[in-house]
Amino acid sequence: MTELYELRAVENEIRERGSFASVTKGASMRPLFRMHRDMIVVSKIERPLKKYDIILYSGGEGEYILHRIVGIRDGYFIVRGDNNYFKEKVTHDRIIGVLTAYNRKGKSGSPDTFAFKLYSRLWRYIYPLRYAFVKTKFILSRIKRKLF
Amino acid sequence: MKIKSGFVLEKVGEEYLAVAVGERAKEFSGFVRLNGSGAYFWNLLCEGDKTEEEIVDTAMRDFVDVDRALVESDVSRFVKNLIDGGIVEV
Repeated sequence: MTELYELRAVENEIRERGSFASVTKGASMRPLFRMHRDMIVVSKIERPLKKYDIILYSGGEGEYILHRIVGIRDGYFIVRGDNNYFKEKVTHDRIIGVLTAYNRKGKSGSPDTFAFKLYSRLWRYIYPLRYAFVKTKFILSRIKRKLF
Repeated sequence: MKIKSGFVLEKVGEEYLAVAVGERAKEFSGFVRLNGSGAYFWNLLCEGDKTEEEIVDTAMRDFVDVDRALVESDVSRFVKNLIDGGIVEV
């Protein structure tokens, strides 16, 4: 019930006041954001969403999730956390807001800067490499567990 | 009194939003929404240990044509809200 209340409160803030702020939670948006270190500002959506936008959406169990759009399809978005290796389909009705500002390691930032856009594209570009690296690490650790 | 350590303030449009980060995030969830005056007082409280009277004195110096009684009541209400919210250490 507490989590449901929290989701309603988040949605109300964005709908009625236009914005919502929170400390970062979880590890799914590393290396961009680290749990409890940074601040995110999510605002009402006032322009069409684009690839690389970071959106806040309902996770379906009274929770909200902040992940990045990596694909746009007819009727839904494909999203993935910067530190995740699985995708999720998110329909428009689940989206609550879009990241418009943040404070990372004590410094103000915006997803509209050149540096941020460059990071977003580069990080996505090297996804196959990152995936291969993480998969290899996983397989090696399984082997290590079986041998020792 | 002053704002506890660990709070971060960001300007968002015409407003200012603040959250607790780091260790402070474990005891303070949620966020604070301030207007321009609130942010002004917030920043004064971040600068160091201040009494309500010192804050009012500073505001009277920084702004023209303000009524002291009004500033006093604004500061008093603002500080009370922050104390109730666990944001200010007395």
